[in-house]
Order: sequence, then structure tokens, then C-alpha cells
Amino acid sequence: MKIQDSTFLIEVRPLLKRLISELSKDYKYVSILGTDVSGKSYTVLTTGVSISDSNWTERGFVVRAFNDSIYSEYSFNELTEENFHRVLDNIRKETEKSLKNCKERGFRTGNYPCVVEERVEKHFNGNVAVPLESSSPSEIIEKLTSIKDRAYEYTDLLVNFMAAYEGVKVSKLFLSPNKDLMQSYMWSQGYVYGIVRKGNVTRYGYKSYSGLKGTELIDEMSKDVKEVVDKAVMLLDAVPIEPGLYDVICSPEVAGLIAHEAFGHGVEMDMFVKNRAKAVEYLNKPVASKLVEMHDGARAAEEVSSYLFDDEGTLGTDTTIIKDGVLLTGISDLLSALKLGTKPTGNGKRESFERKAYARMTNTFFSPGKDTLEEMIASIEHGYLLEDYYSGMEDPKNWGIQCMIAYGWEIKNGKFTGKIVSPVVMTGYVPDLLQSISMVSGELRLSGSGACGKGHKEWVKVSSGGPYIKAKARLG
Amino acid sequence: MLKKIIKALKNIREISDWKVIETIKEGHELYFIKQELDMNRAKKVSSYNVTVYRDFEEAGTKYRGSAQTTIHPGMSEKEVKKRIEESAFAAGFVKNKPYPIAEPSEAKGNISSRFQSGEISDWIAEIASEVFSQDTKEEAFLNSTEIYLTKTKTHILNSRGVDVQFDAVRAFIELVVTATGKEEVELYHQLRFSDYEPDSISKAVDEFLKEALDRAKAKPTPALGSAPVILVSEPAEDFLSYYVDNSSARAVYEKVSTFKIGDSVQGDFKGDGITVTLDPFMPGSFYSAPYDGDGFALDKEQIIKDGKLVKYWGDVRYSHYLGVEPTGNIHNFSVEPGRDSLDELREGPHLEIALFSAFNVDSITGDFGGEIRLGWYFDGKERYPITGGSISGNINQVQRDLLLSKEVQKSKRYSGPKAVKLFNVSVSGIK
Repeated sequence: MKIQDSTFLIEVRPLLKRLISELSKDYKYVSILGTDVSGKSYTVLTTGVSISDSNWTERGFVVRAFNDSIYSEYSFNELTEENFHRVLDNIRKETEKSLKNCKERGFRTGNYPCVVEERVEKHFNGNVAVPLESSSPSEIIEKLTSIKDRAYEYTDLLVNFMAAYEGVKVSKLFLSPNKDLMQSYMWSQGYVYGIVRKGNVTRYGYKSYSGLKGTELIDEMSKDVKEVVDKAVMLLDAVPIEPGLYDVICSPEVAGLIAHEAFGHGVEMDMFVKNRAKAVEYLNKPVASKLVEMHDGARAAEEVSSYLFDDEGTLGTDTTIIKDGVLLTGISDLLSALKLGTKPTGNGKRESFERKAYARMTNTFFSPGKDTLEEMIASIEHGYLLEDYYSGMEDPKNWGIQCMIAYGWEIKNGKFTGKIVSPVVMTGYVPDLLQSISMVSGELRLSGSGACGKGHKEWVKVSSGGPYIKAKARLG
Repeated sequence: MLKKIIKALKNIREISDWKVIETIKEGHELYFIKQELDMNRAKKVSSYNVTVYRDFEEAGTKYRGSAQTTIHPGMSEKEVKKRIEESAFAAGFVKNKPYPIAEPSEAKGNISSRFQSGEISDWIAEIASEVFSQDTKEEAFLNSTEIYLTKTKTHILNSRGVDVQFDAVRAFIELVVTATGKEEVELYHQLRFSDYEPDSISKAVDEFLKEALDRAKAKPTPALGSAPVILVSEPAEDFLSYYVDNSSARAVYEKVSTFKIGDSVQGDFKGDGITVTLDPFMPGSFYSAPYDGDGFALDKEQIIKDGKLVKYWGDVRYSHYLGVEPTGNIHNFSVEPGRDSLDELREGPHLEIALFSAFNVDSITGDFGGEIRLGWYFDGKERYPITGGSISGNINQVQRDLLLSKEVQKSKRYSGPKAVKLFNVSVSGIK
């Protein structure tokens, strides 16, 4: 079913156009992003149930104005006929205040050119099988409760179990003198998660789900309950890993984390502007083994970060970041592209209308290759198959990488030994890690649950993934 | 808008109780590349967070369901009514054990801040000037700085008569410091606070610049296998927060935590016993507040004494489930310092770590670890900066012998030992 546009945004559009028209008398370029994001989050635990609006819920506006040499922004969330002139005054006054104070204290300001836009009018409505409003709260809770109850059929060691679903409808409107863009789509994510305890050892297993989907996602979640419970129970016997450099096979989820942390963050082009990206030194040079091809883009895959236009009104694209191991380009927001004299790639994203736009990833992944998982396992003398992860962190300037991996299966002489190590901290120097990729499998799996921060803030929705990859990595 | 919301809440028969949190935020933001202002932003936004509670009975069992929704300013009376009706309907399917909501209570302290007087657009420029006052070195400099100053007015009301208001001005600074050396390196820092203390920002920036210079000179972390590790600054706070997380009524009720009142939270320990106090009025803390999100008046509470759990902390609901007095949700904690000085803790070969890429402490399993951005290795004779590699371990395995420093630090929500020393921590080094 087609996702309908936000009535709120449609109704407020004439006032927004008037606002642009008024502000254009003072500023050479003015744009407005309007957002209306609504959703519901359902969580069923052994110990309780909760229903709340999704944390991604937002409704408001951000004005961007070219202020002689830099861009100033003002976020607000109430605009009516009655307060129109007050909002207009606030935009002018509030953006001037801190700018004036900084200039008086002797701070220099940046030197940006003015945005030049071609005329674009586009509209996009996504589709899902079952929109959020077509499922009643009782139906969703019943399904999640059934998932939770089934988990207890598989072990007595469970101390709590969670089945959670979140569905989010995104409506955005972008207006500027030359652009009139509107998009509405829906994404969903879900988690199945179980905690087990034996003596004083506590472990947990999880599986996450995501996609440009509606509540049909819950049916996918119900298939893996046993797998999640078994995983948690299996981790009770996991042992710490002997620190060292190993041959590893990364699952598509872990490969996605590497693509995201190792190179995704490293090629966000606002980092180029700040001279914070080592990647600049490697443009058009080999950075990975010849087997590596990597993409990012709102149009590169169908996942939670697929959209028509970004939060600065740039149309989404498919960027080939690495091809045959050679670094080709980065991903860019609009202002970084203006500064660098490059073309924006539709990667300007905001946590919400209240926040600044940065160059951010969308759907980031390694392309599939020709090897099989079985061939990879058989090729390893002593190493690990790494699966699932908790978190990751980038270091764009010095190309360090941190991946907190949930567990690894030991492989000796081409066979699993049955030994499991957990947790595993994978670290290393990005080019060393990517150069060491020696096998790439044929499948491609992306996932987009959770959120990506820039540094330690600015959370946005992204997906990442890839095939199975074989590489050499430092584990601890 | 508040009137519209309360009218709708009172007119829906199925609603047994309700809570509304009105939040009004005004903020200014400055973004710098080196010392050049790259963008300025301002905002004025408000929102209404509404929770409806619905009591019902099924097959002789009583339940209290709830559902939360957000009301946006400018919504019509009809839209507000529809949202609340939908929430009331949904709450009827939420089968939770009954629990009370907060009753009216008097604030037990005040939050004061110099930011409360004057315009935040002036204060933010003042902060910017102080941030850059130390940025005078050629070999280490501030590469990217973001400054946020937000005035937040919070108004909490519920159907039991709670009606409380409080203000806070919160500052957040993100700093990326670059140092030149054989190759340029950088370190990432955040500062969060709610009061202006002259010179405190510049002192922190000066320290960050020195640390970046150390990273520029750093050698690869040695492949030690395992070693005594001293966590200093933020990682020490992160490590100790495990004990706070596991003392919460919610974590215990949900069986995530096994902490029991009267029991040792450190097992059979031989090192320092920790003493933890929650303090909602911690001066300058980013998270200080006189009331929690239910409008429950907060007070200082000691929860762990000499390694023994003396009290669970938690909101009205989860405290009721455990049959203990609620403390409310408090986000600041202090830990009493240890007996040994940092110099004493540094005796003998060890690894000292101040900055990780991200230091992960899993409050469920006790696993901890992270990639080392900056540390120092002392081999018994020489102390030198190191970078790269990682440490990992489990709190249950190392807490027996942990030692706390006599020296203290203060951060966004913590005051307590500057360092925690652990033994036999796994180290994945490079050379």
C-alpha cells in the first residue's frame, strides 16, 4: 500500500512558501525543510509491555539562509497565520545575535559561495505491504507476546526475553526558490533478544530486522526465536580470546560494520573540508584488495536509508566509493560540496529538524564476490568466523577501527572446533584490514536496525552490509 | 496547548491517570573549523509528552496499561483528542502489574547556574572565547569545535496533583584536537556542563592539547597478553557506572541485575570497597534536576557503602514492584576516593589508558573493552605514550582486586576517583 503524504505538511506549505519569499528579501538563498515523522514502538518483555511513540518522532521546520559568507539556520515547530510575523522576526533576530557576538569578539567567518540550484519538482511515495495504521495495537502486542512466550519452550535458563517492533512513517518537504520536493515512506525495525543466566554468568543473544516495510516485519521476526535462544545459551560457554592477529571470516553483518566504520565514516566529505580524513591522500589510489568494491547511497539499495532527497534537498544517488580496490570518491552533503567544488551526493542528513546537517552514510555495503563460505572455512588454518556485533567506532583521521563483535567460532585446519570466543574486540589500521581481504562470497545482506552517530552524537538511520569476507584482523 | 491536552485527558472516560511533560527549548549553536565560524544555528521548539494510564481487569487479574504519545504545538483540538484517544485505546492492551504514579512533593534542593542570568546568545560567545583562549600552540590545535547552549524549561503535571516546573541551561562542547608529528593525529572530546565556572573550559582544552601531543609521539601498544591496567578520566567513570546501572530497581525487577540489598556488589573483594551516592543537585552537572521525569522530588541517596548495596534506586513504578521506597531516577553519581595516590597506583609495570575510541562497559554481562586511542606504558623503568590495540575483560573477574585513586575528578555527571586500577586485564597489543 502506498504511504500517504502528511496532511500537516501539505496544509502548511503555502505559509512556508510565503516565509521563503519574505526571507528572500534579506538573504540571497533560503531553503526550508519540513518534517513530519510519526511512528510507534512496541516492546514486550517477560516483565512488562510498553507502547510509545517512536523516538524518531518529530514535526517541525528548519530554515537555512545564506548570510553573506556563511549559512545560518533556525529550527522551530510552530507556524500559523497568527504567529507568522513573530517567526519571521525570530529567524532574522536569533540568527543575527550569535553571529554579531562572534564577530565582535574577533572571530572570522567562513567563506562559502551561494547555492545555485536547478529547478526540480519531484514527489515520492513509498509502498509497504501492511502500513502501521492497518494493524491494531492488540494484534501487534499479541504477535510479540507469542514470540516471547515461544522462547521459553527452548530453555529454562532464560531470565528475560524481549520482542520489540518499531514502525516509522517519514514525510518530508523541501522548499527553496527552485526546489519543491516531497517524499513519504515507511521503515520498520525489530529486535528479538533473550538474556540467559547460569550461576553468575549472564549472556544474551539477539537478532535484528529492518527494511522499507510495515508491520509485516513482525512475521519475519517470529521465525528466529529458537536461533536467538540457542545463541544466548551457547554464549554461556564462550571463553575470552587469546589476543593476536588471526585469519577471520566476517559475516555479512560484521562486514557491513567494517564497511561502515572503516570506510564509510572515513569518506564523509565534511571531514575532507576539516582536513580530518586520511582518505583525501588516497583518492584514486589502491586502499583495499582488488576484490573490494564498496557503495553508499540512498539509491544504492532498498533499506531504511533509501529516499528521494536528503535533508538539504539534494536527490539521492548511488556512489561507488571503492572499485577494484581503488578509492574513487567520498560522499557529500551540500555545503561541503560547495566548499570543495564537488557535486553533492545526496548524503546531507540531520538527526531531526532541530539539528545541523552533516555528510552521513545511507546504505553502505561491500559488493558480492565469487567465493563460497564453505571455501573460506576450508582455507583457514587457525582463525575465527565472526558473527553479530554490539557497536563500532571510526577514526577518520588515523584510520583506526574498533568493532565490538559478539562472538567468534574457532576454525582449525578448515573445520569448526566447537570453541566459541566472546566478546571480541577487532581493531586495526583500515588499509591493512582492507588490503588483507582475500575472499568475498556471493551473497549480499544489508541490515538497518539501530542508529549511526557522528563521533558520539547526531544519530541517523543507516543500513550496512555485504557478503562474507575473509581477511586478517587483530582480535582481543 | 496544555489546556487543550488536559481537557482532552479529563474527558476520556477510560483514562485512569495521566502525565504531561511540557518542554520548551531555546538554543544557540556555533560550529567552528579551526578558529573560523563555519555555521551558526538557533532554535525555539516546544513539545508535549503525554502518558495515559488505564486500569482494567481480565479473568480476575488487575492490570495497569499505559501508552505514551507526543503532541506537537499547533495541533488542533481535534488532533489532540484523536492522539489521546488512540493512546487510551492502546493502553487497554498493555497488561502490566498495577503501580501508582507520583504524588505531589516539595523540591528538596535547588539548581543554580550563572547561565540563568543574561542572554544565551551572549553566553555562547563567551564560551567560544574561552575555548579558543588556549588554542595558541602551533604543534597542537583545535581543528573542529561545536558549541551548544540550550535553555530548557520543563513543566510536569499529572492527574494526582503533581505540577512542578524547573529550568536548566545546558552546555555541550565537542572538540576535535589535532597534533602534528611524524603524521597528524587527532583526539575527540566532549564537555557537558550546566554552570559557567571561569577557567574550567580553558583548563580542559589545555589538557586536551597536551594529550594530542602525546598521541603524536605515541608508540604502538606492546603485545602484553595481560597486564595491570589503570583507567583514568572518563573510562574510570564509565567503569564505575556498572555498579550504578546494576543497583537500579528496574534492572533488578527485569532480572538483568542480580544485585541484592545487604550483599556485596563486588563479590569477595580484597581491594577497595566502593561507596556510591546519587546526587541530583551535583553542581554544574549536565544532568542535575530537582525532579525526575515523573515529577517526583529527588534527594541525595547513598546506594552502595564499602562495596555493599544499601538501597535500590528507581522511579515510583519499579520501586513499587520491588516493595522499596522510590528515590526517583537520578542521573548523577559520586564515588568516594580510594586510599592510594595515583603515583602509588603507578608503581610497577602497567598500562594507563585515558582515551578509547569508545569504551564499552556492558552492564548485563560485565564485559568491558575498547580500542586504545591514548595511553601510557610503564615497563618498570620508562613511561611512554602508546596508541592502538585494545583491552578487554569482565568486571566479575577483575573487581576482586580493584583499587581507586585518592585523586578525584568531576565530569558531566560524576565526581569521584580519577583512576581505577585493575589487574590481569587482557591486552591485545601491536608490537
